[in-house]
Amino acid sequence: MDTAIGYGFGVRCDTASEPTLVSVHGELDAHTSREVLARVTERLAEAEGCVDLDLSAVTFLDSGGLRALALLAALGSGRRGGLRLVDPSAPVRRVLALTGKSHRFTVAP
Amino acid sequence: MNIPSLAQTDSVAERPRSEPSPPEGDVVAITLPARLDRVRLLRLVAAGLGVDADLGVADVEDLRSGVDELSCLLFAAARPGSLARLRFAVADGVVAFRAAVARRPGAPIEPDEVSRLVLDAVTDGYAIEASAEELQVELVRRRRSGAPQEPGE
Repeated sequence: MDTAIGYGFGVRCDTASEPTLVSVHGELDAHTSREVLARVTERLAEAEGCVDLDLSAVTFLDSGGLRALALLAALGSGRRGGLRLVDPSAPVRRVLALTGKSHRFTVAP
Repeated sequence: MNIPSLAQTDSVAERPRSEPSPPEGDVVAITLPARLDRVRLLRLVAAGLGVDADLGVADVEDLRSGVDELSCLLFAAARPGSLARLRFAVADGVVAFRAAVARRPGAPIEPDEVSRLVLDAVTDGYAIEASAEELQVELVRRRRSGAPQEPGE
């Protein structure tokens, strides 16, 4: 199930995979993060186990996007399996490093 | 860059180690709706002007992040339906950015912790000024890394 809101940004959910996989592509900012929040919150509520959030195709991350990821990680920590950030791209790793917030997330690999 | 100073300010968040100062050079002025979905356009402009200023690759990425952070703060505090006035000043090795909007009454005007950490890391100085009616932001980013290399170098 795909959601695209323009400018090459999109969210894809693969509910058939185990664990559930949500992939984000494009620029994750204060505007687009709303869609990610909505879609991943939905998956966290419905998935039996872990939810993997694939960030390998994220081309930009700002503090708004990072806040959304932190909120989702907090939501995931209260349930079995939780949320994992999978293969964060260089722009994602850069912002995690700049802000020193990596410890808030489970990152794989 | 010639946005007039505000006569009265009720809050100022400012990074102390460097005052934003406009460089001598080209000015690019933009007016657009003060909405978060328009910030992407400003990132594109910032990146293009950073290249024009011969900033390094990492500098351009930092400039893009800084413009994004301040624009998001600005637009989130803007009066609904208002326009933002934005100016970039570009010279060799430096880009300055200044923007202003009509302020929504009671809107927050301080960056949160995460945004402040980003701004501290990616700018050479930024400032936020607010009056009851208006909010202004500005930043400057200078070349830190080497200029982009020519192909084959």
